[in-house]
This record gives sequence, structure tokens and C-alpha cells, in this order.
Amino acid sequence: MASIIVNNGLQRIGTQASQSTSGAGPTYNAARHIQTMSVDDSTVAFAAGDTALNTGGAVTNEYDAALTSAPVRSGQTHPHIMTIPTGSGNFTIRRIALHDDTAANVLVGSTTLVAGVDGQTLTKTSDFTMTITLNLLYTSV
Amino acid sequence: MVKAGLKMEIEMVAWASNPDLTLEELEQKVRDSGNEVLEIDKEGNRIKIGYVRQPVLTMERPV
Repeated sequence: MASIIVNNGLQRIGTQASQSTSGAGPTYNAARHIQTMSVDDSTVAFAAGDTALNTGGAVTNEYDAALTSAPVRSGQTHPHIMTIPTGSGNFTIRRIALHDDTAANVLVGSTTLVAGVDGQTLTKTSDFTMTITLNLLYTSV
Repeated sequence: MVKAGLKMEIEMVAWASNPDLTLEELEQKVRDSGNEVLEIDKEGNRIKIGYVRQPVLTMERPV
């Protein structure tokens, strides 16, 4: 199990904060902020060079949705919340990830991956709704 | 000597809920599906089934 902010995600966070341009890769774009969360059943661990959910291997089941609301920062903590309704995402969730595009543009092969947690075993069924919070915490010490 | 200068962490929390079920019924459904019950939030009528908090980046600075 591991948690990671992939290289593209670090570039996204940096370019949004500094409004940077670049010859390649993520550049500042007001529309390309973290706004979608996904779950999937891949057992492949995320790696720093991943740009999409399927970079490390095929993904069989995936569900994504827009964040339930815009993140409300508290101190240095940025919360991201998704809700999976009873009728969706009903598989064993192995990975949870954040994306920097709209849910319509997030596909298993889209270059939208920012950060993720892998190695989970959360069995979603139609018996309940699942609400997942992914906090990004930045601490200066 | 160095000291941590910046730490980035990811924290994940997963809750199961269903307003049509009692907490006891929900707990049974959660257990039957193979999930581990980490916490029962009676006020929130929900059950925590997943939690992770891990550092993803630590930068050191000289002091």
C-alpha cells in the first residue's frame, strides 16, 4: 500500500500556484484544477511517472465523479470528497485517485492523474453509499 | 544537521452509509460484504470502513 502524488500531479500543483508555463507537460490552466475523484480495482501500485490510471496496467472496473463540492481548505489541509451512490462502483475498490479535469474527461487512459492511494480492499455493494475523503496535507516544520 | 522543511501527506477516509437501514443493519451489510468495521459514527449514521494516512513527500532543510 502506498500513497503518492505523481510527477504530473506535482507539476499541476506547482503550475497552478505559480501560474507557470512550460514547453511540455502541465502548464497553468484555470480549468485544470483537482475536481474529480476515481476508484478502480487495479492491484497495480501507482508510480511517480504515472500519468493515467492505466499507465501501469489495464484497469477492469473504474468509477469516477466530480467532487461533491469545491474543496474547503482548513489550515494547510485540502479535503476532496466523492460520493459513490448505491448503484455505482460496485466492485472491490483497490485504488482511489484525484484528477485535474472534469469527470467527463476522466477516463482510465486520460492524462489527468494527480495523486492516489493504492493497495486498498474496500468492497462496495449496492447495499450502501460510500463517501470517500482524500485530504492533501501540507506541513511546514 | 537537517530538519524536515516541508511534509506532504495524503489521508483517505471511507464511510459507508444508507439512510434506509438502521446502523445495525448497515453494520451487518458492511461485514457481510467483507469490509472491516473501523468505527461506527452513531450521530452521523455511518460506518468507517477505510483509513490511510501516509507521507508522500518530506523535504529537509539545514538548520
